[in-house]
Amino acid sequence: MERKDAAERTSPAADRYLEYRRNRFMNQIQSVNINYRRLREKLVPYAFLSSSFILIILFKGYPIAYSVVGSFFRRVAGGVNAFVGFENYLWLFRDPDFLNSILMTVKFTFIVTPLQIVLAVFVALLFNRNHLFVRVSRTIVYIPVAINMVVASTVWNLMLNPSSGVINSILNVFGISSQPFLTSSNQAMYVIMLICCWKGVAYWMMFLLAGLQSIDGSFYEAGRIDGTNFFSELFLITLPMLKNSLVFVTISDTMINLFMFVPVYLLTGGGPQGSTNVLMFEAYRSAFKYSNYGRSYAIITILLFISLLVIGLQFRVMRERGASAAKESRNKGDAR
Amino acid sequence: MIERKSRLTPALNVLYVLVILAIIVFSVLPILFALGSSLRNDEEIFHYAAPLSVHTFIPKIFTGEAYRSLFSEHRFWLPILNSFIVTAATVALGFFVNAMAGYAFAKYRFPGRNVLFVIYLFSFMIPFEMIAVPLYKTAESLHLIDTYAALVLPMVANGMIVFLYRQFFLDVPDSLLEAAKIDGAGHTRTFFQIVVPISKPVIISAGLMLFVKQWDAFLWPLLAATRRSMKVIQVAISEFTLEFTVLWNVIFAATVVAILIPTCILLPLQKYYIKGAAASGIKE
Repeated sequence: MERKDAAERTSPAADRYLEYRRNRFMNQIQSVNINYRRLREKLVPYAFLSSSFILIILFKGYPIAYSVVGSFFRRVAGGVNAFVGFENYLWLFRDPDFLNSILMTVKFTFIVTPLQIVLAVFVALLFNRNHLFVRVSRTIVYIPVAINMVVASTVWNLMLNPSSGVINSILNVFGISSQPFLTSSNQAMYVIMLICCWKGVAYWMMFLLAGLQSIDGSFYEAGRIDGTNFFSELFLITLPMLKNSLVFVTISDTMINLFMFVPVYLLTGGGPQGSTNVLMFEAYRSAFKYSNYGRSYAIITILLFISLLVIGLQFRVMRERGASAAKESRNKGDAR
Repeated sequence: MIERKSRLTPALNVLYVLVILAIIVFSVLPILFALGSSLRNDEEIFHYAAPLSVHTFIPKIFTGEAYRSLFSEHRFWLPILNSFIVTAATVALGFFVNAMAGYAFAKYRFPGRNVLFVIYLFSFMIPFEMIAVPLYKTAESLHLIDTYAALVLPMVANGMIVFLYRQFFLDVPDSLLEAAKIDGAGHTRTFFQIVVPISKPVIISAGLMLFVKQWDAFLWPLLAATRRSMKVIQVAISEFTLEFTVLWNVIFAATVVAILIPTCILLPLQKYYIKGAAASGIKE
């Protein structure tokens, strides 16, 4: 109350001055407030990203860096890690076990990937119809997708048992003698490929079928007017229109096959005679069986390098694809 | 599509149906065989393997003995429970973490966005198996080995799921967000009360994909959970294969249970799963 009285008693000039000071003060507060708000607005997206970013760095970025750095160290006497430069790598490339596992990984990836994709395209084409029988069978054929590699390997392992497995009984009916399957160094790799195809074909078919169903029917009608047969329709319309899905499926499938591990771990342990010893299993064995982490990290770093090449290839193909799509739409515009 | 069908001659149609039936047999035979064998008793299991007869596939005496043994002697409910806990936690946390990231990428422009997005895409291209060994060392130094956190946390943030959410949120009209802003809703509130409720399809798709990923995970749980009470379902099955090699009916029973659980969850929601898989793959 007293203060108010005092204010009332001041002269007009002093009043104006006080008014001026008050306004300036309020403006300052406001601008601080606005700056603060603006900063907060700017930080919002980072706040939304923070949790996932931390998790990705901690559980993906850090382990990758750890294995790259760790590949230059070796545990020496006394349990100390000593920097050894490229020694782990040099040892690897003189190690017949490792060289064999590279060969086996290449063999597996380059046989099973094309096989899965060709089969998946074939099956997807078969199932690309809107008929009750086809729809029902499609649902059944998708079942292996819901079954993971551990279960698939376990079931196939028992079915492929050389002495009391059902597959040999079936082969016997057709007059084929019993096969050793996973116990033979000639057959084990192909048996693992079969198991991978059983699940893989259904899985990749799912993507390809989605791609097929997004193709506009008018292309086929136009083709029919031009007199296409089955093969020209397949190679001139279907496969080019399916290119996006095919690129994605090929790259993802290659990556998955490069890191195939479960059937080897469960069924063969890399044998017989190293015939199924792929890189991923060799890395696992180095670390957890022989406690040779330096060697394991070196193998993982090599795998990382290979996968970088594959990913790089994917980005390149995708960019080309984007460029050609842009070109196409431009051409379309010209035609109009 | 219908016109194309009419172009097939009757002979081709028969061939077509036969090929489809062959594919069905190849897809389903292992599962039916596992189911049949899981219902046998201990004596019968090796008895009818050869020569091939009806009883190779269909048990002579149906019995639930293997299932009883699986759940009582081998305490299979424990890994199932563990898998459920781990999977549920992953799906729930995965929703918050990945949806928020997808929202940021879809609806905000900020410095470093493209670099971050490439990092996210790159992170999902590096498969989990590859980094399992160094990840073990990471988890060890964080004292996470033999905890649920070790099984859950590395699987939560997933670049592919972020990508899936981003694709969906891109289609959410900006005018809706502006309306919310004018009404005085903050960023968090706009996201959780406006955007999330209209995003049910993508949430289901993303949840299913995380569910399948976590349920199927094998190498990481094998390394990260060594204590018996922490084992998840896949690791438990692998132990049957490696240790109890002669208990075929019990092994088959375990695989049947392991097939049934995800199938029961996936089958009614199959549409969402396929949509999610297709959207994350094809829409570049």
